[in-house]
Amino acid sequence: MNKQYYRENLPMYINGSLSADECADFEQQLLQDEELKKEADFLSALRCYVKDEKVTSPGEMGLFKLKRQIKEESKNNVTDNQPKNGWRTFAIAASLVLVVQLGVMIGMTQQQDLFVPLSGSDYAENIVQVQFTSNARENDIRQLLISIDGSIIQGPSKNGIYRIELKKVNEEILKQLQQANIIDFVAEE
Amino acid sequence: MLNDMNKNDQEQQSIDLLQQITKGEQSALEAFYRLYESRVYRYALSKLNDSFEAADTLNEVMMEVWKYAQRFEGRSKVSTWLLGITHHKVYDRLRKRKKTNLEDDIDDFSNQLIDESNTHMEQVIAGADDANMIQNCMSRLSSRHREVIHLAFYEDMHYQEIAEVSSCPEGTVKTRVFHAKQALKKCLAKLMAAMESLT
Repeated sequence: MNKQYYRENLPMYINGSLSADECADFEQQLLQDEELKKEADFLSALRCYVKDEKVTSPGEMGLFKLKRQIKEESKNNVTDNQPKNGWRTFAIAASLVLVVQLGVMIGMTQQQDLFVPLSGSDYAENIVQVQFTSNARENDIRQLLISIDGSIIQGPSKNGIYRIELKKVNEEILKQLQQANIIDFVAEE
Repeated sequence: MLNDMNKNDQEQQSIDLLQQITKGEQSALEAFYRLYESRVYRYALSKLNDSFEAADTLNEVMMEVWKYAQRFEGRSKVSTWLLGITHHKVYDRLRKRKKTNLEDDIDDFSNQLIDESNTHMEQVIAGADDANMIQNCMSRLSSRHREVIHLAFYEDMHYQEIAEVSSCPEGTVKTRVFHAKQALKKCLAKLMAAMESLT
Protein backbone atom coordinates (compact mmCIF):
# COMPACT_ATOMS: atom_id res chain seq x y z
CA MET A 1 0.00 0.00 0.00
CA ASN A 2 1.44 3.38 -0.95
CA LYS A 3 0.87 6.84 0.46
CA GLN A 4 -1.66 7.65 -2.29
CA TYR A 5 -3.80 4.66 -1.23
CA TYR A 6 -4.00 5.84 2.39
CA ARG A 7 -4.75 9.47 1.41
CA GLU A 8 -7.46 8.37 -1.01
CA ASN A 9 -9.19 5.89 1.27
CA LEU A 10 -8.93 7.79 4.54
CA PRO A 11 -12.53 9.16 4.22
CA MET A 12 -13.75 5.56 3.89
CA TYR A 13 -11.79 4.57 7.01
CA ILE A 14 -13.34 7.50 8.90
CA ASN A 15 -16.91 6.64 7.81
CA GLY A 16 -16.45 2.97 8.69
CA SER A 17 -17.07 1.54 5.23
CA LEU A 18 -13.79 -0.43 5.04
CA SER A 19 -13.41 -4.08 5.98
CA ALA A 20 -11.97 -5.09 9.37
CA ASP A 21 -8.61 -6.00 7.75
CA GLU A 22 -8.38 -2.68 5.94
CA CYS A 23 -9.21 -0.83 9.17
CA ALA A 24 -6.48 -2.66 11.07
CA ASP A 25 -4.02 -1.75 8.32
CA PHE A 26 -5.06 1.91 8.54
CA GLU A 27 -4.63 1.92 12.32
CA GLN A 28 -1.05 0.73 11.92
CA GLN A 29 -0.36 3.38 9.30
CA LEU A 30 -1.84 6.15 11.46
CA LEU A 31 0.64 5.31 14.23
CA GLN A 32 3.52 5.90 11.82
CA ASP A 33 2.31 8.80 9.69
CA GLU A 34 1.80 12.10 11.55
CA GLU A 35 0.37 13.92 8.50
CA LEU A 36 -2.17 11.18 7.90
CA LYS A 37 -3.17 11.37 11.57
CA LYS A 38 -3.84 15.12 11.26
CA GLU A 39 -5.88 14.54 8.12
CA ALA A 40 -7.85 11.86 10.01
CA ASP A 41 -8.54 14.32 12.86
CA PHE A 42 -9.81 16.87 10.35
CA LEU A 43 -12.10 14.37 8.63
CA SER A 44 -13.43 13.09 11.98
CA ALA A 45 -14.33 16.65 12.99
CA LEU A 46 -15.97 17.20 9.60
CA ARG A 47 -18.01 13.99 9.96
CA CYS A 48 -19.14 15.02 13.46
CA TYR A 49 -20.35 18.34 12.07
CA VAL A 50 -22.23 16.71 9.17
CA LYS A 51 -23.85 14.12 11.49
CA ASP A 52 -24.83 16.65 14.17
CA GLU A 53 -26.07 19.42 11.87
CA LYS A 54 -29.59 20.34 12.93
CA VAL A 55 -32.00 20.01 10.03
CA THR A 56 -35.77 20.08 10.40
CA SER A 57 -37.40 17.99 7.71
CA PRO A 58 -41.04 18.48 6.66
CA GLY A 59 -42.13 15.42 8.71
CA GLU A 60 -45.87 14.86 9.09
CA MET A 61 -46.69 18.02 7.17
CA GLY A 62 -44.88 16.63 4.14
CA LEU A 63 -46.78 13.36 4.50
CA PHE A 64 -50.07 15.23 4.67
CA LYS A 65 -49.25 17.04 1.41
CA LEU A 66 -48.19 13.79 -0.23
CA LYS A 67 -51.42 12.04 0.72
CA ARG A 68 -53.49 14.95 -0.52
CA GLN A 69 -51.61 14.99 -3.82
CA ILE A 70 -52.20 11.26 -4.28
CA LYS A 71 -55.90 11.79 -3.57
CA GLU A 72 -56.10 14.65 -6.07
CA GLU A 73 -54.27 12.66 -8.74
CA SER A 74 -56.55 9.68 -8.33
CA LYS A 75 -59.57 12.02 -8.69
CA ASN A 76 -58.04 13.47 -11.84
CA ASN A 77 -57.50 10.00 -13.25
CA VAL A 78 -61.20 9.24 -12.76
CA THR A 79 -62.21 12.40 -14.63
CA ASP A 80 -59.61 11.95 -17.36
CA ASN A 81 -62.24 11.00 -19.91
CA GLN A 82 -64.21 14.21 -19.44
CA PRO A 83 -63.45 17.28 -21.59
CA LYS A 84 -60.62 19.29 -20.06
CA ASN A 85 -60.74 22.96 -19.12
CA GLY A 86 -57.29 22.96 -17.49
CA TRP A 87 -56.46 26.47 -18.62
CA ARG A 88 -59.58 27.80 -16.91
CA THR A 89 -58.70 26.15 -13.57
CA PHE A 90 -55.16 27.46 -13.89
CA ALA A 91 -56.38 30.98 -14.63
CA ILE A 92 -58.69 30.94 -11.59
CA ALA A 93 -55.91 29.60 -9.34
CA ALA A 94 -53.44 32.20 -10.65
CA SER A 95 -55.95 35.01 -10.08
CA LEU A 96 -56.55 33.82 -6.52
CA VAL A 97 -52.80 33.77 -5.81
CA LEU A 98 -52.48 37.31 -7.20
CA VAL A 99 -55.34 38.57 -5.05
CA VAL A 100 -53.83 36.96 -1.93
CA GLN A 101 -50.38 38.38 -2.65
CA LEU A 102 -51.75 41.84 -3.34
CA GLY A 103 -53.75 41.79 -0.12
CA VAL A 104 -50.75 40.66 1.88
CA MET A 105 -48.55 43.38 0.36
CA ILE A 106 -51.13 46.06 1.16
CA GLY A 107 -51.36 44.72 4.71
CA MET A 108 -47.60 44.76 5.07
CA THR A 109 -47.19 48.35 3.90
CA GLN A 110 -49.59 49.40 6.66
CA GLN A 111 -47.37 47.92 9.34
CA GLN A 112 -44.96 50.26 11.06
CA ASP A 113 -42.52 47.53 12.02
CA LEU A 114 -42.04 46.19 8.53
CA PHE A 115 -38.32 46.83 8.44
CA VAL A 116 -36.05 45.27 11.03
CA PRO A 117 -32.35 45.80 11.59
CA LEU A 118 -29.97 43.41 9.80
CA SER A 119 -29.02 42.05 13.20
CA GLY A 120 -32.55 40.59 13.32
CA SER A 121 -35.83 41.40 15.01
CA ASP A 122 -36.69 40.30 18.50
CA TYR A 123 -39.14 37.69 17.22
CA ALA A 124 -37.23 36.36 14.20
CA GLU A 125 -37.52 32.74 15.22
CA ASN A 126 -41.27 32.54 15.81
CA ILE A 127 -42.11 31.01 12.47
CA VAL A 128 -44.89 28.62 11.53
CA GLN A 129 -45.63 26.99 8.19
CA VAL A 130 -49.23 26.88 7.03
CA GLN A 131 -51.22 25.71 4.10
CA PHE A 132 -54.48 27.55 3.37
CA THR A 133 -57.56 25.76 2.08
CA SER A 134 -58.16 26.08 -1.64
CA ASN A 135 -61.26 28.25 -1.03
CA ALA A 136 -59.58 30.66 1.42
CA ARG A 137 -60.28 34.27 0.51
CA GLU A 138 -57.79 37.11 0.83
CA ASN A 139 -60.08 38.90 3.29
CA ASP A 140 -60.19 35.83 5.58
CA ILE A 141 -56.42 35.40 5.42
CA ARG A 142 -55.86 39.08 6.24
CA GLN A 143 -58.26 38.94 9.23
CA LEU A 144 -56.54 35.83 10.56
CA LEU A 145 -53.05 37.31 10.20
CA ILE A 146 -54.10 40.50 11.98
CA SER A 147 -55.71 38.53 14.81
CA ILE A 148 -52.52 36.56 15.49
CA ASP A 149 -50.16 39.48 14.78
CA GLY A 150 -48.40 37.59 12.00
CA SER A 151 -46.90 38.36 8.62
CA ILE A 152 -46.25 36.16 5.61
CA ILE A 153 -42.49 36.16 5.11
CA GLN A 154 -42.14 33.52 2.38
CA GLY A 155 -44.28 31.58 -0.01
CA PRO A 156 -46.24 30.18 -1.57
CA SER A 157 -43.96 27.24 -2.35
CA LYS A 158 -44.85 24.97 -5.25
CA ASN A 159 -47.07 23.02 -2.85
CA GLY A 160 -48.77 26.09 -1.45
CA ILE A 161 -46.87 26.42 1.84
CA TYR A 162 -46.50 29.85 3.42
CA ARG A 163 -44.05 30.80 6.19
CA ILE A 164 -45.60 33.11 8.75
CA GLU A 165 -43.62 35.08 11.30
CA LEU A 166 -45.38 35.74 14.61
CA LYS A 167 -44.49 38.00 17.50
CA LYS A 168 -44.88 34.98 19.73
CA VAL A 169 -45.80 31.35 19.29
CA ASN A 170 -47.81 29.69 22.03
CA GLU A 171 -50.37 26.93 22.42
CA GLU A 172 -53.25 29.37 22.14
CA ILE A 173 -52.11 30.80 18.79
CA LEU A 174 -51.33 27.37 17.38
CA LYS A 175 -54.77 26.16 18.45
CA GLN A 176 -56.37 29.21 16.85
CA LEU A 177 -54.55 28.45 13.59
CA GLN A 178 -55.44 24.74 13.71
CA GLN A 179 -59.11 25.56 14.27
CA ALA A 180 -59.31 28.26 11.59
CA ASN A 181 -61.52 26.96 8.80
CA ILE A 182 -59.28 28.48 6.12
CA ILE A 183 -56.21 26.48 7.20
CA ASP A 184 -55.52 22.94 6.07
CA PHE A 185 -52.36 22.36 8.03
CA VAL A 186 -50.11 24.20 10.42
CA ALA A 187 -46.71 23.29 11.86
CA GLU A 188 -44.22 25.14 14.03
CA GLU A 189 -40.70 25.40 12.53
CA MET B 1 -22.71 -7.22 14.54
CA LEU B 2 -25.96 -6.03 16.14
CA ASN B 3 -25.74 -2.91 14.01
CA ASP B 4 -25.41 -5.03 10.87
CA MET B 5 -28.47 -7.04 11.91
CA ASN B 6 -30.47 -3.85 12.40
CA LYS B 7 -29.38 -2.64 8.97
CA ASN B 8 -30.40 -5.93 7.38
CA ASP B 9 -33.77 -5.81 9.17
CA GLN B 10 -34.39 -2.29 7.93
CA GLU B 11 -33.42 -3.25 4.38
CA GLN B 12 -35.83 -6.19 4.42
CA GLN B 13 -38.56 -4.01 5.92
CA SER B 14 -37.99 -1.43 3.14
CA ILE B 15 -38.20 -4.10 0.42
CA ASP B 16 -41.44 -5.44 1.95
CA LEU B 17 -42.89 -1.94 2.06
CA LEU B 18 -42.00 -1.35 -1.60
CA GLN B 19 -43.80 -4.56 -2.55
CA GLN B 20 -46.89 -3.41 -0.66
CA ILE B 21 -46.68 0.02 -2.30
CA THR B 22 -46.65 -1.70 -5.70
CA LYS B 23 -50.03 -3.18 -4.73
CA GLY B 24 -51.34 0.32 -3.98
CA GLU B 25 -51.26 0.14 -0.18
CA GLN B 26 -51.07 3.72 1.00
CA SER B 27 -50.30 2.73 4.59
CA ALA B 28 -47.07 1.16 3.29
CA LEU B 29 -46.14 4.42 1.59
CA GLU B 30 -46.73 6.25 4.88
CA ALA B 31 -44.40 3.86 6.71
CA PHE B 32 -41.82 4.13 3.91
CA TYR B 33 -42.06 7.93 4.02
CA ARG B 34 -41.46 7.98 7.80
CA LEU B 35 -38.47 5.68 7.36
CA TYR B 36 -36.71 7.75 4.71
CA GLU B 37 -38.08 11.30 4.60
CA SER B 38 -35.33 12.79 6.73
CA ARG B 39 -32.54 11.19 4.66
CA VAL B 40 -34.07 12.22 1.32
CA TYR B 41 -34.70 15.76 2.59
CA ARG B 42 -31.18 16.15 4.00
CA TYR B 43 -29.60 14.92 0.79
CA ALA B 44 -31.71 17.27 -1.35
CA LEU B 45 -30.90 20.13 1.01
CA SER B 46 -27.18 19.39 0.83
CA LYS B 47 -27.30 19.94 -2.92
CA LEU B 48 -29.96 22.64 -3.26
CA ASN B 49 -29.19 24.71 -0.15
CA ASP B 50 -32.88 25.77 -0.09
CA SER B 51 -35.34 24.27 2.40
CA PHE B 52 -38.44 24.98 0.26
CA GLU B 53 -36.97 23.36 -2.82
CA ALA B 54 -35.69 20.43 -0.76
CA ALA B 55 -39.21 19.89 0.67
CA ASP B 56 -40.69 19.96 -2.84
CA THR B 57 -38.05 17.49 -4.01
CA LEU B 58 -38.93 15.14 -1.13
CA ASN B 59 -42.56 15.29 -2.26
CA GLU B 60 -41.62 14.53 -5.88
CA VAL B 61 -39.39 11.61 -4.85
CA MET B 62 -42.10 10.02 -2.70
CA MET B 63 -44.64 10.46 -5.51
CA GLU B 64 -42.20 8.65 -7.79
CA VAL B 65 -41.98 5.82 -5.24
CA TRP B 66 -45.77 5.66 -5.06
CA LYS B 67 -46.11 5.43 -8.84
CA TYR B 68 -43.08 3.37 -9.77
CA ALA B 69 -42.12 1.24 -6.74
CA GLN B 70 -42.11 -1.78 -9.07
CA ARG B 71 -39.01 -0.35 -10.75
CA PHE B 72 -36.91 -1.31 -7.73
CA GLU B 73 -35.17 -4.46 -8.89
CA GLY B 74 -33.13 -5.25 -5.79
CA ARG B 75 -29.79 -4.72 -7.56
CA SER B 76 -28.79 -2.09 -4.99
CA LYS B 77 -29.83 -1.15 -1.47
CA VAL B 78 -33.20 0.61 -1.18
CA SER B 79 -31.50 3.75 0.17
CA THR B 80 -29.08 3.82 -2.80
CA TRP B 81 -31.99 3.49 -5.24
CA LEU B 82 -33.99 6.18 -3.41
CA LEU B 83 -31.10 8.66 -3.19
CA GLY B 84 -30.41 8.00 -6.88
CA ILE B 85 -33.96 9.16 -7.68
CA THR B 86 -33.39 12.19 -5.45
CA HIS B 87 -30.16 12.96 -7.29
CA HIS B 88 -31.99 13.09 -10.64
CA LYS B 89 -34.81 15.24 -9.27
CA VAL B 90 -32.32 17.66 -7.76
CA TYR B 91 -30.28 17.75 -10.94
CA ASP B 92 -33.43 18.72 -12.90
CA ARG B 93 -33.99 21.59 -10.49
CA LEU B 94 -30.41 22.77 -10.70
CA ARG B 95 -30.60 22.66 -14.49
CA LYS B 96 -33.77 24.75 -14.38
CA ARG B 97 -31.96 27.26 -12.18
CA LYS B 98 -29.39 27.38 -15.01
CA LYS B 99 -26.60 27.08 -12.52
CA THR B 100 -24.72 24.31 -14.24
CA ASN B 101 -22.20 26.73 -15.70
CA LEU B 102 -21.80 28.45 -12.37
CA GLU B 103 -21.15 25.10 -10.71
CA ASP B 104 -18.46 24.31 -13.22
CA ASP B 105 -16.88 27.64 -12.44
CA ILE B 106 -16.91 26.84 -8.75
CA ASP B 107 -15.39 23.42 -9.49
CA ASP B 108 -12.59 25.16 -11.35
CA PHE B 109 -12.16 27.54 -8.45
CA SER B 110 -11.89 24.58 -6.08
CA ASN B 111 -9.27 23.05 -8.34
CA GLN B 112 -7.11 26.09 -7.79
CA LEU B 113 -7.19 25.49 -4.07
CA ILE B 114 -5.28 22.25 -4.04
CA ASP B 115 -1.97 23.86 -3.18
CA GLU B 116 -1.55 22.90 0.46
CA SER B 117 1.70 24.74 1.06
CA ASN B 118 0.00 27.58 2.92
CA THR B 119 -2.48 25.41 4.76
CA HIS B 120 -1.68 24.78 8.41
CA MET B 121 -3.37 21.62 9.55
CA GLU B 122 -3.50 22.73 13.20
CA GLN B 123 -5.58 25.74 12.14
CA VAL B 124 -7.73 23.57 9.91
CA ILE B 125 -8.46 21.06 12.68
CA ALA B 126 -9.26 23.84 15.15
CA GLY B 127 -11.55 25.42 12.54
CA ALA B 128 -13.28 22.11 11.85
CA ASP B 129 -14.20 21.89 15.54
CA ASP B 130 -16.03 25.21 15.27
CA ALA B 131 -19.55 24.54 13.95
CA ASN B 132 -20.09 28.11 12.70
CA MET B 133 -16.83 28.17 10.85
CA ILE B 134 -17.34 24.83 9.16
CA GLN B 135 -20.94 25.73 8.28
CA ASN B 136 -19.65 28.89 6.63
CA CYS B 137 -17.11 26.93 4.59
CA MET B 138 -19.58 24.17 3.68
CA SER B 139 -22.00 26.77 2.30
CA ARG B 140 -19.25 28.02 -0.03
CA LEU B 141 -18.72 24.63 -1.61
CA SER B 142 -20.25 23.82 -4.98
CA SER B 143 -23.36 21.66 -5.03
CA ARG B 144 -21.35 18.65 -6.27
CA HIS B 145 -18.79 18.98 -3.50
CA ARG B 146 -21.44 19.36 -0.77
CA GLU B 147 -23.12 16.28 -2.20
CA VAL B 148 -20.09 14.01 -1.91
CA ILE B 149 -19.30 15.25 1.60
CA HIS B 150 -22.90 14.52 2.61
CA LEU B 151 -22.92 11.03 1.10
CA ALA B 152 -19.51 10.15 2.55
CA PHE B 153 -20.02 11.50 6.04
CA TYR B 154 -23.78 11.57 6.69
CA GLU B 155 -24.76 8.45 4.74
CA ASP B 156 -21.35 6.81 5.41
CA MET B 157 -21.29 5.47 1.87
CA HIS B 158 -18.34 3.86 0.12
CA TYR B 159 -17.00 5.51 -3.09
CA GLN B 160 -18.73 2.84 -5.16
CA GLU B 161 -22.16 3.58 -3.64
CA ILE B 162 -21.67 7.34 -3.99
CA ALA B 163 -20.86 6.79 -7.67
CA GLU B 164 -24.06 4.77 -8.07
CA VAL B 165 -26.22 7.44 -6.41
CA SER B 166 -24.70 10.33 -8.34
CA SER B 167 -24.49 8.47 -11.67
CA CYS B 168 -20.80 9.09 -12.29
CA PRO B 169 -17.59 7.01 -12.34
CA GLU B 170 -15.95 6.08 -9.04
CA GLY B 171 -12.81 7.98 -10.08
CA THR B 172 -14.84 11.18 -10.44
CA VAL B 173 -16.24 10.71 -6.92
CA LYS B 174 -12.71 10.32 -5.52
CA THR B 175 -11.62 13.50 -7.30
CA ARG B 176 -14.64 15.40 -5.99
CA VAL B 177 -14.06 14.24 -2.42
CA PHE B 178 -10.42 15.29 -2.72
CA HIS B 179 -11.28 18.74 -4.09
CA ALA B 180 -14.05 19.25 -1.53
CA LYS B 181 -11.61 18.46 1.30
CA GLN B 182 -8.99 20.82 -0.07
CA ALA B 183 -11.48 23.65 -0.53
CA LEU B 184 -12.73 23.18 3.04
CA LYS B 185 -9.21 23.12 4.46
CA LYS B 186 -8.23 26.26 2.61
CA CYS B 187 -11.38 28.06 3.70
CA LEU B 188 -10.99 27.00 7.37
CA ALA B 189 -7.33 28.03 7.41
CA LYS B 190 -8.21 31.44 5.97
CA LEU B 191 -11.01 32.00 8.51
CA MET B 192 -8.79 30.91 11.40
CA ALA B 193 -5.99 33.21 10.23
CA ALA B 194 -8.47 36.09 9.98
CA MET B 195 -9.75 35.35 13.51
CA GLU B 196 -6.23 35.26 14.89
CA SER B 197 -5.34 38.58 13.26
CA LEU B 198 -8.33 40.16 15.03
CA THR B 199 -7.27 38.98 18.49
